[in-house]
Amino acid sequence: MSTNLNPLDLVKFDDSNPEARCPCILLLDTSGSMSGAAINELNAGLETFQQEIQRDDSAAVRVEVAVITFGNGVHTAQSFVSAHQFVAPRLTAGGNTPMGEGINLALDQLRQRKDTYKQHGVSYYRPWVFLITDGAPTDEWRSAGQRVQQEENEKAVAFFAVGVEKADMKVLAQISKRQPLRLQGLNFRDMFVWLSQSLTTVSHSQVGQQVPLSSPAGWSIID
Amino acid sequence: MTLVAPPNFRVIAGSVQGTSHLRTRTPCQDAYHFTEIASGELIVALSDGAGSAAYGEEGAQHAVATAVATVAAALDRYRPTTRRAWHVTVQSAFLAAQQAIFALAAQRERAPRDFAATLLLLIFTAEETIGGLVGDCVAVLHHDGTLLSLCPPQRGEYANTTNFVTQPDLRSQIDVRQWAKPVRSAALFSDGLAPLAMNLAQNEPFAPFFEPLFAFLAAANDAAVAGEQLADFLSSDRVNARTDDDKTLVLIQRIAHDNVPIIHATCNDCH
Repeated sequence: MSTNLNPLDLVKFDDSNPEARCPCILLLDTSGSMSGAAINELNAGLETFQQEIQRDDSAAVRVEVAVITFGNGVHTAQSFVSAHQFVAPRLTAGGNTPMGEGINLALDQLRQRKDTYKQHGVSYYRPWVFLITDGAPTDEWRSAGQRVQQEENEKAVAFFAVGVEKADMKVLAQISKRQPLRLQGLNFRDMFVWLSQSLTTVSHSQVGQQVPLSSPAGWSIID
Repeated sequence: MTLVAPPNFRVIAGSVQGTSHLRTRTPCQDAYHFTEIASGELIVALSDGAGSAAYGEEGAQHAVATAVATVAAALDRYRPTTRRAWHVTVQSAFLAAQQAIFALAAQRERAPRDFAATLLLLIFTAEETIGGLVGDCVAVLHHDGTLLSLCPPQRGEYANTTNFVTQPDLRSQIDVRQWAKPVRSAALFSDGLAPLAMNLAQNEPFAPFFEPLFAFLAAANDAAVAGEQLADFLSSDRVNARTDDDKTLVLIQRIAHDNVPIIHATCNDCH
């Protein structure tokens, strides 16, 4: 290369394009049965998730996280934030298991989020819902389950279900089109490391790329 | 990669592997090809092999070679004069590209989707420019001081989805556009460069990206040096900070007839 001014140094880049977003809702069971070790390990797992997802600069900008809990009603513990702004909430357990209502709220929020992206010309990846439960729904869940199946068929969402301890895996199999996974013991940490890595991979994926997820074998059992 | 076509057009192109492809050891899946035919038209094709396709780069290579050869052969026999006739010419090139990939897939006993690739095809005549697109490569035309993107990139709902020439519904996905004026210069590029060069939501070229490139092309008097500079630029840290995808850029300039073309070259060493 000559030492003369390189004319290509003058090329400027457009700064108006927002980063593509990769939304993920953590849909978490905080019913009474989660009390004690389970909720403590889940909270520790959420802290691990926060650290892991913030490790990759690009994923920290592109991945957006929301947290919805079901147990003592359905609550948005964290509305959508960029992963780099995500602070793991400290959840407490109590009450029944309104999973159907929780699922509907999650799917509603994803729909709204997509509308917001469209309004602002932001491109986005297929959203994820990551459901974790240790029990069975105490509300009407079949219509929510049908909605999950339908939206999964339409590729509107990627819905993952994880059962903890005594979770009713048969119900989860009727809700989630993807095979539900059973957590090994209370190994939330490895599960959240996997989730973070998977979202990071998705948020780096390019046109036409189907993202091969790494095996969840490190933290799950297939019944 | 440095290429300067004979009489009517000057072409300099660069194609480099994205950093994410370096990490995953996948090859550069972009390919381009061009030819200036005896009657003076320049035919250029650019293709981006799908990240999910095991042999996307081969699909891309077959697509560009077949599309350019099909148009060159067609123009050798017959010169379209109507919009409809150009449409048929472009469409036949895309269908031929698909058939070439299908034949390759059959020969290799693989599914056509293993060779999935996008395709952008441009024909520059003395009077007008005709473009066809399936996928999300971009053609920016420079005319009378203004820049325009000829065919809007096709995107699915999600950031990582678009159309490919291997799709069964290819015929209905081909977007053919005509710009009824001769262009002074043009840039074709793969989607890896699009976020740097365009306002994506508006499909609007970012002029401060293109102006220095066209000035660089106009001033290039050593094809080898210019090609190296373009490749260096495409793999520079400041480009890689903004995109980790493969990046291909084909710069085209119509040479004024009183100018002597600087170097004659062919596209033998295209990807």
